[in-house]
Amino acid sequence: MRFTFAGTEYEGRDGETLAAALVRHGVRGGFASIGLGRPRGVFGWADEEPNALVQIGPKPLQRATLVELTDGLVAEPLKGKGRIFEASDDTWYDARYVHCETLVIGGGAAGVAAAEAGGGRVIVLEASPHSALTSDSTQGLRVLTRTTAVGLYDGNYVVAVERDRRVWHIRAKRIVIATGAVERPIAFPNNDRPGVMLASAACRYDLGGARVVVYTTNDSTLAFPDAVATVDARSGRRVVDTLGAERLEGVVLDDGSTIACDVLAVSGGWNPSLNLWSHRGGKVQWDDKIAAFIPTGELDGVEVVGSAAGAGLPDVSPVWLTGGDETVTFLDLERDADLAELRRGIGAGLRRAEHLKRFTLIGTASDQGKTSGVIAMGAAAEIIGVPLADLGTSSFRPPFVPVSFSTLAGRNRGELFDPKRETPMHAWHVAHGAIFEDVGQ
Amino acid sequence: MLQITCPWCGPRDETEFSYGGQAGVAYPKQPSALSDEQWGTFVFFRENPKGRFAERWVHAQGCRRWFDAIRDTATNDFLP
Repeated sequence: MRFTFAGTEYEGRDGETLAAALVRHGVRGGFASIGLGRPRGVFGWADEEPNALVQIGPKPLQRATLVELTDGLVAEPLKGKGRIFEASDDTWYDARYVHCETLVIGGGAAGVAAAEAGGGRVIVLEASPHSALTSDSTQGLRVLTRTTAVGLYDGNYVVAVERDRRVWHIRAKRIVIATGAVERPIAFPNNDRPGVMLASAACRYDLGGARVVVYTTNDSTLAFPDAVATVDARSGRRVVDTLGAERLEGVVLDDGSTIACDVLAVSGGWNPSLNLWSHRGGKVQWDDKIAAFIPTGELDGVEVVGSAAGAGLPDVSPVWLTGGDETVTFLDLERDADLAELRRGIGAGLRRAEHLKRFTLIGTASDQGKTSGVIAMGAAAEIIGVPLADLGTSSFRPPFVPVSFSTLAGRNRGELFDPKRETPMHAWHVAHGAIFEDVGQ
Repeated sequence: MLQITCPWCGPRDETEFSYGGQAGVAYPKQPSALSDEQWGTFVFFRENPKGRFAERWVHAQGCRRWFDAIRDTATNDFLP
């Protein structure tokens, strides 16, 4: 299988994502940031990816971590913004409306357990191409892979998108949110150098013979294979800078020593994915033990299970501030928002998460702050000198992942957007040269 | 989208219904006897509670019948 990225042809493997193939071929950079044009590379594993955005044919802003390779795929890196394709998009889009008794969002271990326990008709939404479950109509089980729930609304109404092609409108009696948790990075100077990755992504990619340094705040990185060094923030060690230009060449530690490396795998802790819970009005509270927001209170007919509820997540000793040059300490990679901007916002008197978000644009890019929101709040709380919970939270709004307008429009475009209705006498009128007036519907 | 239970048709999507405002607002027995202010109050003034609220709904795209329902305005849940 062959694919083209930025004009260069590469060999790809079946079932691989574009990002995985690029990393396997040693392409660490290849992307540029939206504001400053700094070199960037693949950073995450799935929908949290802030850097690796590509244009594929008519489709802008596709995440390379979600694009499955096909033979002859042509991808162009985007500098944070897409282009509207001028020719018409001939993809077929569709919509379906279904009901079920139990809707399980997320096909991980907790989701599978909930689906197996669930009564009545069960639908499982799994974002990745693979699921441990298979659809079984005799058991009333439907498994939708490559399907992401993008919004949870009143009356337990869920809108999900399958492969960016088909919109599912699902009304469920009971909803189980098993969306898991997403790793977050650590902010330190030049933390955007291509080769700096989330540890959870780095340990799943084929890094070849790359020299890996792990920088961690928790036990989730213990199983990391073949790391040349581990910098454990819990024993007081810090990464204070990175070396290299177009790609990472080494890291600088707090004692001034340097370690040469190609990849820095960073784990700043884990954020339960509570976007859907928040869409429906669910409240969250800060948990100091795992240093993350967990769901609190109740919603009628909605439950959160597994690591989305904070279960099984490692204890974290978070590192919010490192010092050094704050203008290159990036909090939101997709927005190019740095710590200096956050400090300016606090200097202007802003004290709430919602205000700082609007001032700095942190969390407002198409990744919706999946990797940036909490590290920005942590840094702000430490600068102001208050507990993180005092900053409040900014609520999430749909969609959870970007959805193209053409997907939402479905078949309602062209002639079907506003179908013309004609009287039975229309042909006779045309034959006799009538002049028509458009009177709408 | 809300799901509203029509007493005749059962649970249906919100898009099938139209809203009729507060329930139990009686038409004045003698409209001509009302002052302008009383008439204005009858026409324009309604409760706006946070919590339970009795409302009129019409199943406009279905059986076209009117009914009363109690909705919690804070959570949007309909009470049985």
